[in-house]
Amino acid sequence: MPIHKHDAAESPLDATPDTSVTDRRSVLRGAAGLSALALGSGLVGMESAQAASAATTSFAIAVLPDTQFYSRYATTDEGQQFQAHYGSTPFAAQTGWIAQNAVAYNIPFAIHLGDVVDQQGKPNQWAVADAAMKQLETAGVPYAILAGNHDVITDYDYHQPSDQNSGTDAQRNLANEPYLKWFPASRAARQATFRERDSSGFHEYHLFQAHGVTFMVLSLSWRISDAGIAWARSVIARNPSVPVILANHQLLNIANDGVSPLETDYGLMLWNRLIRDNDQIFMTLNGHHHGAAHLRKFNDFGNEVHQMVVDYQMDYQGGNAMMRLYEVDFTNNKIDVMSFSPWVVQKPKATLNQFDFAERTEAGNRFSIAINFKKRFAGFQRFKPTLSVNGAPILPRVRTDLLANYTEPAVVAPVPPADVNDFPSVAETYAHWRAPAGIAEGQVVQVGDVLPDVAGGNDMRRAALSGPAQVGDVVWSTDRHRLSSAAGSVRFQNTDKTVKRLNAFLTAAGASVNGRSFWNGYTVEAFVKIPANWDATKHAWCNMLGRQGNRGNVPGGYQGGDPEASSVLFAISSLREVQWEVVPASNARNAQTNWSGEVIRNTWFHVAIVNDPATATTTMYVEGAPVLRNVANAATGTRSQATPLPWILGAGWWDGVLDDGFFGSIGELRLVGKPLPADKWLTARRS
Amino acid sequence: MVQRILCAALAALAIPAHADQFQATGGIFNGSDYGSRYVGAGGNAPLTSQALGEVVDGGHLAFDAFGFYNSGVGSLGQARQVELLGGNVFRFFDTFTNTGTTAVTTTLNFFGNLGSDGDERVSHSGGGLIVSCTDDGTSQCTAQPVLALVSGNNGLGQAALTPDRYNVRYTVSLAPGQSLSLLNFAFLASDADGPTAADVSLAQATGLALLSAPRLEGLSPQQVASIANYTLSPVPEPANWMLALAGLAGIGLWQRRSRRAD
Repeated sequence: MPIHKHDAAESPLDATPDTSVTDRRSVLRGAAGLSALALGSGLVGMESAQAASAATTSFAIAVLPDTQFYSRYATTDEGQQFQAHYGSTPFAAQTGWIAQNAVAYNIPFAIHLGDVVDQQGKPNQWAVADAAMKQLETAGVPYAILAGNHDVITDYDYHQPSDQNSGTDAQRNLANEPYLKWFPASRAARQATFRERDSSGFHEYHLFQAHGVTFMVLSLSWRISDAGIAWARSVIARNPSVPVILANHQLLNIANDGVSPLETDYGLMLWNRLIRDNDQIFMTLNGHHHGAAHLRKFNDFGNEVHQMVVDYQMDYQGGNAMMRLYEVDFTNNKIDVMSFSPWVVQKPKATLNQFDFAERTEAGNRFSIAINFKKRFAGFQRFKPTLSVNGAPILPRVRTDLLANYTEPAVVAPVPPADVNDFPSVAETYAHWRAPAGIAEGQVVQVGDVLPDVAGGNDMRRAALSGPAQVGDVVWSTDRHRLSSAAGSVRFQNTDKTVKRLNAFLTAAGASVNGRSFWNGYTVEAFVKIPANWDATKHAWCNMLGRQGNRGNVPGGYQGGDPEASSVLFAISSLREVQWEVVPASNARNAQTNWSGEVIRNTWFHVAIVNDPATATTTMYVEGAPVLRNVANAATGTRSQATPLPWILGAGWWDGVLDDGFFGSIGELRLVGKPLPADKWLTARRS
Repeated sequence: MVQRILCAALAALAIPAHADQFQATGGIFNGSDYGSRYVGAGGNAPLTSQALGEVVDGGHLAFDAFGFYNSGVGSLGQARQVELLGGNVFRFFDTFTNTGTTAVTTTLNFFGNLGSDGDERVSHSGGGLIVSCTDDGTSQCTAQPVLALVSGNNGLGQAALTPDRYNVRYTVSLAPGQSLSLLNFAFLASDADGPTAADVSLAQATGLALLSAPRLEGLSPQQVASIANYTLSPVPEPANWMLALAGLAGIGLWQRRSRRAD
């Protein structure tokens, strides 16, 4: 059976590199009974030398994906959240680790993939990044850096050729760009590997050597202009024998399955205008899109170009300092990839939970790419590395050293509910809506049907249809979160904001919960699932919970933005973050907002938002773990209207009408008038 | 036509499947798999951008990726017929059509990334034929096949090999609605018992035979009539007969050598 190229490209790192499968031609060579030593003088010499010494000739490149939340939430503006919880910060932990270990692990170069900061207009965030990157400079570890979309003033995406006329480096007022102030060419030039920036100052290239082979890192900021592309081409042309690693902020994306590569318009533009006809580019790295994926493409010379995207920013703690090492192994003709956090192993043990990983070992984060370097570089150089006489594989050493004094946190397995009443009952429950017993999968919820409040007195009913909504758009389902004790869930389907198709449940006009302002704080919980076909164009900002009435009208003199919106926004953002935004009771002048990381489609999750007046905090937990972007100096409660108005489940509110309908399933939703510890949440069991 | 068939048959006689020659493997990419034939559009596969109809390997590491047009096609329509014929001959038959409303003049580049990885040893170059092998470092061929790369006999194709990249440039002009076809061959010579000097001779002889009498079996009269990079002789020329005889003589030499080895 023929062996496809794509079958042979990537293998789990644990697998012993097998020359019989890493290259299709090797398979056929083996079938023909030919020995490797019969092939090509350069390879012969190298293999012979290696066989004699058994040494590994390799080096590692350190890669830092989007650090934006590390920069942001280490600032005093955001309450120095890392320092407060852990006594250390993730960005500094990353660069500190590289600085301390570059020699020991033969790391000649580091690459930052952009989105250095989250908010380019906040100097404190740049200061955090500045200090972190300075650790590399002090240690003499050269690095390439580039600007991501969060690092530039104008953040326009690319979709078509005409977009080159706006939002690129060519249209910027360079004097105003903070990136060029904090990371100017003069700073880059202090590194021995630096060669040149383009005339805009956003793009740069470096040459570094490893085992006698010179590599280029061509580092292109988001978004590159036509002139920038011409500069990049000229750089490659002026170094015609050098293999090139192309670093970008955006290029490759990840498909909805969270695993498969997905090409972007911007990446395809770069492919067609820069990559495909420059054989020297053998590898591209980018961040920006949340997750990890790898795509092997073939250029105009039939050679492989390995495109890899990685960005952990939507994970726990804005990425938990996860970074990468790419071990380029000349001896075994492969590149091994390791994704690890030098910060997790430093954290106080008491802070560790099930979301802390010293290393990510799933296939997309730990893998090996077969590259016959002599063959791959043959079109532009005679590959003759200086062989190591005593080198050992790098990543296994990193792994051993990293985990030497680290113990994975013990995780207490949660207990599934024994029956529909197996949850902690709390006296201060204002409302607890859940699907009724006896429902059938797919059973249509008729207009006027009840979504019961099992705490009593605040039942919701399905609202009348409006616009293109159909009665079949809302159904009961027996599907539920594994820790929910409810009989099932209510599913909102066919929602489409582009045509105003939405559905909702409402409390009755006189329901007691309508007038609650939560003066003693609150705990709001929900079990939620958004489906696999959740699409931002139709479902962005879809609301699970809201209150009728414009928030600009609540007592207390609201002065913030969007006064037409509800005083409670419990929604899924365009980036699939959970948004909890309320107008507090104790200070109603501005709304306060918590944001989760990116939630996964087609997977149930539990959300708890706890507002604690004693600590002046509002903390969101997803699946039990606190999110990063919480509210420091939180005000108390969430203000009702002077004349109480109904709560909304399944839609939001905008200036007098229901808006932004939910697309997905809600298992239970409970409002409690005080902060609760986790052992009183709906994920716990009755005592 | 009879004369053409006769000519092709004679060429076939010059390169019979020999017991001691290795058997090339198809390795022709069809968009999802590798086989011994591809008939379809030109261009590249979705997502991976791998060239449709390219030959990967071909047997004994002959090619990294061989036999596709990597520039110049532009807006032209392209139809490919790539196949491994008998006798270790790969044939690349490409038809280009101007589907636009204005005339197109372009340089089409037929490309091959050879398996030598830069250790190329060229023994013949010119007249539409390049004969090359992978140098073992002592000016001898390795166990990889000796290649005869044939790009036409009328000078339309300009072939070059640097360092392991085979490029044939065809500058063509097509009026709206007009089509033409380009015919390329790659012959692989490799004794099954290991490299011999005779492999080079066989490759050269076969390449010259394909120049004078290209293998056209399986092509329709319309396809043959559209070929632009060959001048097809109506009757076999004396030189062709001589080449064919030379090829047969070469086979005879290997047979003798092989018998001794047995």
